[in-house]
Amino acid sequence: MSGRSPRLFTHPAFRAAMAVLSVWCMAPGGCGGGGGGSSGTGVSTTGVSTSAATDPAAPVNGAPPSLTESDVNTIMLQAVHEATARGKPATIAVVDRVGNVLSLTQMPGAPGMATITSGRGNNTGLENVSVPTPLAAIAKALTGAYLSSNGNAFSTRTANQIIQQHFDPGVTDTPGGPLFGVQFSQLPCSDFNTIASGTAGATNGGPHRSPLGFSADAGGLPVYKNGILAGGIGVMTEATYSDNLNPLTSSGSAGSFDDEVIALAGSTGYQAPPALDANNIAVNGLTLQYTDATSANFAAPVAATGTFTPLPLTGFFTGPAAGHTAIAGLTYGSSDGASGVAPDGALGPMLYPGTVNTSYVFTDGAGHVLYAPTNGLVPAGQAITAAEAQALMTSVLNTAYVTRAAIRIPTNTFAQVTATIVDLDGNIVAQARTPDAPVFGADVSRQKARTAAFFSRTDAAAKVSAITASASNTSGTFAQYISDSRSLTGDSNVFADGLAWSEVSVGDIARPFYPDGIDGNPPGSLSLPINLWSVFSTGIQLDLIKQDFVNALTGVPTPAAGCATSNGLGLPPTASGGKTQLANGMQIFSGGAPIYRGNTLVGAIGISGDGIQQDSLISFIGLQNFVDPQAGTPISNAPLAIRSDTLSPGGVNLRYVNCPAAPFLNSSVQNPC
Amino acid sequence: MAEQLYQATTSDAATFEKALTTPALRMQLERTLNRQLSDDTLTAMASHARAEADYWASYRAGIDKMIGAQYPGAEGRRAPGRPAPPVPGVEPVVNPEALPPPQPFEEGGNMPVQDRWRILDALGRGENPLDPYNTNTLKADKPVFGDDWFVNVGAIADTIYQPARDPTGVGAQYTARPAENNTFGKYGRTQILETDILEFALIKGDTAFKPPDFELRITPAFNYNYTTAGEIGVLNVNPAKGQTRSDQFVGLQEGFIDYHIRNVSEYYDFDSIRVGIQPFNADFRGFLFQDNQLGVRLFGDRDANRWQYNFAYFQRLEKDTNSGLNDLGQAVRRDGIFVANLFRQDTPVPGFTSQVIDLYNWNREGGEFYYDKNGFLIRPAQIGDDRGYNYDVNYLGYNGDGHFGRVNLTVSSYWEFGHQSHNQFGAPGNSGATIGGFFAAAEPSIDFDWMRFRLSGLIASGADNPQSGHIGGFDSPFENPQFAGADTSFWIRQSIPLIGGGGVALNTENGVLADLRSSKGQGQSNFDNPGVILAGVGGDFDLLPELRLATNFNHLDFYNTTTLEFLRHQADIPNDIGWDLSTALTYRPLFSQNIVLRLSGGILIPGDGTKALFNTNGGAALFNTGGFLYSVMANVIFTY
Repeated sequence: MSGRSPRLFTHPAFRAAMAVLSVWCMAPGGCGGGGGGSSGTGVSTTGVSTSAATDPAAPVNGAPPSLTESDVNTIMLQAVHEATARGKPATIAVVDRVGNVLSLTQMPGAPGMATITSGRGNNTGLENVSVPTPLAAIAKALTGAYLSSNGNAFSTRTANQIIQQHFDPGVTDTPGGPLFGVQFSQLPCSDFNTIASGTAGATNGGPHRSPLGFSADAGGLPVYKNGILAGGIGVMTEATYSDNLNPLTSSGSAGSFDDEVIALAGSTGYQAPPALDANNIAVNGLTLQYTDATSANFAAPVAATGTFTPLPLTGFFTGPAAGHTAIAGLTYGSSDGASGVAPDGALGPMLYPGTVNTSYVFTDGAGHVLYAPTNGLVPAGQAITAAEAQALMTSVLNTAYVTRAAIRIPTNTFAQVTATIVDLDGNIVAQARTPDAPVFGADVSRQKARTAAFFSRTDAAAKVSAITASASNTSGTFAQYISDSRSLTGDSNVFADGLAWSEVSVGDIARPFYPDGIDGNPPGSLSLPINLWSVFSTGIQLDLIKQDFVNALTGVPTPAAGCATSNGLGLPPTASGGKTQLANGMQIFSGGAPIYRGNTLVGAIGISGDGIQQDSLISFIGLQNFVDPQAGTPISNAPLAIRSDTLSPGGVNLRYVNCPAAPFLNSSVQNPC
Repeated sequence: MAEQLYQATTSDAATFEKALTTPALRMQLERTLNRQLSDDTLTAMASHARAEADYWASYRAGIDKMIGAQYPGAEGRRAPGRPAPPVPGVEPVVNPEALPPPQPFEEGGNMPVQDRWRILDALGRGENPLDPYNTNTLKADKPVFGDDWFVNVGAIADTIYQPARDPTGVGAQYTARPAENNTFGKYGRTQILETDILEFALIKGDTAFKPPDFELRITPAFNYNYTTAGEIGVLNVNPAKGQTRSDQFVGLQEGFIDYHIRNVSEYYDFDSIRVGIQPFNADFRGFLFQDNQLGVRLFGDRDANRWQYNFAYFQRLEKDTNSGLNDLGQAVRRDGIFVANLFRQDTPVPGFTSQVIDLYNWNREGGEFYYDKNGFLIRPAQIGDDRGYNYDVNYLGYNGDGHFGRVNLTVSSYWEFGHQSHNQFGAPGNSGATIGGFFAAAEPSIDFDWMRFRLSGLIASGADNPQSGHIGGFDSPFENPQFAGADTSFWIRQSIPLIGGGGVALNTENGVLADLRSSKGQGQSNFDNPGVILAGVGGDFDLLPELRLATNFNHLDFYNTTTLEFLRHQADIPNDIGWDLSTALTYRPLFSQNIVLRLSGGILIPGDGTKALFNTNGGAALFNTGGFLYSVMANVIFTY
């Protein structure tokens, strides 16, 4: 569609004549062929490397697609130059695709601290907490890098759009954003995300933790090297760390427009191919926002001139080597596994030889594969076995390889996700990914699996009620989340009666209105009333990890048990694995489901990385198509009769799975689930 | 016939002549006629009968001459589908007692005649207010006061029962029942609609040939609607409102003053101005703008009605969401329509009327968020970036309607051009886009006795690159097409939501365009649409004078599916919408429009494009949602 046709064929008169002719074409099957060419939706795919979708580490123009030290310096200087020209001293961070901070600076005069505020006027959760601006800049940079891929470029502005109480934000009575709650991922307390190298000038395997989770504050963009995703840039010029409540009608009204312009100037020469911009990607018909800034907003022509001083930050950036101002980034997915992600089989035997594409596995950055299929620990005697984990992971990845991606360009390419299988206590049984899945999904898939397993347990209500840390709800107690759930669902034994809770269903009652999005209604029972709610105060999800969040700001080390311990007032470590059941936090959007052996809960699966419907479908179909390799009762999706969608709080049934329209690339089936 | 009359009158003359000389016969005649018959009387009667016989003899002779031997016994009747008999240069038979026929456009010679109601009053004829057929003051047959003030009262009760099976989406987060795991749910929607319309007109002036001098018309309409759907979150934005909805509304469909400015010829060519809510159709078949809207309209004709013109401006009123009636309780829309059109009769051939038109539609609703009565955001439509747009669009068109010989023909064509302040799909620099589309339709038909056969063809352009600075789709301000079976057709009658592609529908109810609007009555025009191509055949069969069967077989294609592919993030959606087969049975027991019973049904046999968009292949899980889509409508209309 993008090619030029000879003039005759584009002449309106010719087209009209052809059109009239075609009126009389009445053969069965119609007059037309397909509407699209290779570019499908009319979006130009110029500059998009489709091979990077299956080999994201492949060299481009003879160089690996990662940021060199020189690249990082250029990006930093371009940003500093624009900030100077604008008179907006900034804190600027550049990260690689797995979250190594490659450089960080705070220009003289830039605010050192920022207050977290949604501008909603509430005072719960993290609202009004003061955070160092370098942490905010890193969070922005990580958000840009982690949400993006070689098929999509998302920014912190995109993040803002997809985590609010309505989607699109500002449209009343519409459900919450598709990634509602994703801001509380990549947490410092996560048992998955890694900590920065303690050696100056060194990087290490990721994915790294983010000091503030994901950012919804404009000013974080991904950076690309020769069209391949290589990292992100984050900019903070202000003393507030916020979100944008009304992004439809305003350009930078939340006050972060300067941040975005500076980030755009910094990434000049390293921008995403325009085809990948979020605004080319429609989610349920609605396009996503990438940036409101353009080069026309630059206060000065882009130039990599001047100097800046690197700012080390304990736990996140040990600083460049002496005499340097930046560190070279790692090549994501290289076969040596240095980035923390490597092709399956590069560092040992293939774990998933049955997948139709080469899948990717996690490493420790030092040549060792992590999270290979292993035997689950609980429930004893019924736990998922390594063989089952391997077969199920293979089924799940192969489902992804035939699922039409919702957020990738070009269209009609396969979905890219990370999948995690956990046992009953949330111990990892297997974790793997497709080649180019956005990095954020690695941690989020764990959160989803653990959340589904946890809330399907018969002791979930008791465990939550036993938490003595304070909550953000009206009574200040975790027990209220359970009692409210009993009231809402009409199930007096909810979270204790063995009902199978999928992530879709958990999300259904974890929004500030119930039903989700209906303004004026009281909240879902795991959420907060709208006057107490914000993206910095989401209810039980934040309350479980709020203490961990504050600890990270004050330098208190993460406990071995992971997230949700609340300094001993939260969930206790499990006997099986020594961590809490929610060791990297709770997640409250679609893409996870519990796993059963017969009627016995044995674990869960979590998927993250593509559209939420695709994530939901891959977990469900992956399990449905899975053939258990061992004798005895196979593992499967929850029996129909005990699924959470048998509940109908407020007269509407919760949803268990949400499978998309036209989901598969190799089949025309519409309703597979 | 003439032969029988000749023989009868000849026989009568012979009888009267014989009675002059035969007393018995004369007595028999006197008894039969119950009066005395003198010789003079009998002679006169005989002579009269003889004259009649002569008349019929010459009449018969004339017919014989005209028909000749070619059509023995055909008695001069013409049959449709057969050539007309040759017309030789024969003196027409003239009834010597007949008045001469009126001559067209004769100067002078008009003879004043009493008002018809005075003639009827003189005859002592009574009236029944419930009888619209005979003299009725409520039907403007007699003035209510003065000499020329009339009222005309009308009433219509329209009841529709309409079950349909159209694509229905499962709510994104909540469902009507357990185990609904997919995007496409339990298809179907059933509507019961009751619309009651009252018409009040106050008219000054004769109501026969001369246009009235003044008219005031008020037409309130009451609507009750009840709808059920297969899923929740469909009828109301709040899924907790369930699967049914009932609503009612009273709207004003007409409320205007018509002032007859002047007559410009003795054929009552005139200029008139009409102010208020009034019906208007911009072309013959309602392709562009047919609505009852608030406006000012200057109209009239010239040259004995051979030229007609309209100059009008309409400031569009908000429509009530569920009834579609005009809602005067809301502010008028920031949307207006200027239209000028000119009709010329007998152009290019006698029996065919040509029209040229320019319609300009401005819209400044880009800065607002407007939610309909069911809570859905419809301005801007929930597609693309949700940022609104203004637009200015012009339609230059040629339309024609009439017949070329025995072939009836309607044609319509429009060139659309304009500008949109913003492209919701995203345009380079977010700087708006030019609009440029086209539309063409033709429907020839031919009658054979009690049958009419039709061909229908229509094309509306679609946008081939939704994100460019030029948007190529055609959309109309408010279509109401009477074409290709109109509301019998599934496609034209049913609005099919673009499930999974945003808050728009492929097409609107009572619309043929695939224009991806949020709402026909309340949404903005959307030029970023796939366009449509229709090709069809149809037939109307007057099985009985009061019973008509109409059938339509239409094939539908998208013009270009790029916009659909963009919204669904799904490449390679084929153009083929499918076959739309429909039929309607219309029964008018009184041979009039006073009672009309209509039963119609349409099915859509999905083509590859529809299959790529919706579940039509049969459900793997809970519902058997396979097979075709259908719509049935049972309609009863009573009119006074």
